[in-house]
Amino acid sequence: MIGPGGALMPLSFRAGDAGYSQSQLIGSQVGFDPRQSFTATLSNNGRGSVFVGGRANPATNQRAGAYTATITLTVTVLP
Amino acid sequence: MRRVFAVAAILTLSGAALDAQGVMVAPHAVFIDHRLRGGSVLLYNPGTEPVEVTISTIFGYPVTDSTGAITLRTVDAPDSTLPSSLAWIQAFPRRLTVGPRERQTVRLLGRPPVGLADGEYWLRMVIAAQAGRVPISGVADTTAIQVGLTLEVRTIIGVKLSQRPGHHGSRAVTAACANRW
Repeated sequence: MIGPGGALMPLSFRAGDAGYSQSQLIGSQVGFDPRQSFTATLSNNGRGSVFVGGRANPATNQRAGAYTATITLTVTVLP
Repeated sequence: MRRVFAVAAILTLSGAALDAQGVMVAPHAVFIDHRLRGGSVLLYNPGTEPVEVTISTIFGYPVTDSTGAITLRTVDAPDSTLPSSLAWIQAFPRRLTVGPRERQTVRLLGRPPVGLADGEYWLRMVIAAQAGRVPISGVADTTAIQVGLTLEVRTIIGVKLSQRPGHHGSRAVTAACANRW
């Protein structure tokens, strides 16, 4: 993540930090590793939800301020 | 010290308005007839904020690794052994903004080269939508450090053009990607 004055703060993800739910309910998600591809089948209404967790790891002397980053979700539709 | 966060994104190939999602894309695959040589894709923004969209095209086909995971193998410069239409199908506009609750059409135009052998040629269309800021939960202490995430949703759909059968003879394609569009 990039913060004030270009300061950096690492993000980390682990296996199981993401989940896919065909019913769009967080309680019914199937976990997967967000660092790898995951294949899922959409429901008949063409909808689904992806939930992603992760960890921001600020150092003890991390510069105060607002940090931002972009998460890219790539959805490849296979016939 | 670690801060745990969580975000949610909605995959929408059809559906209602929800936060942190891109644009709806329809259809999920485009089939272009050799007589028309054109097609279109409809984008719909179900949200309340405008969404910036970038359109690009790639060539690739799905492959399975030793664990069974499917990935899309892309080829930057496909040669003549691959059934690629990357060089002669164009999508436009390439950049657009879809307003809240608005629809926009992206058109595809194929200009197959003269003498193109019969067969099926394809590419994949990448619709990259800046889906806005993602709501973050689970961060307890934000007195000194605040975190914010933006979401980009890239939807990749297939575009296939069928060249007229019996017109220019058949062609052979690399077995690795035959029928894997």
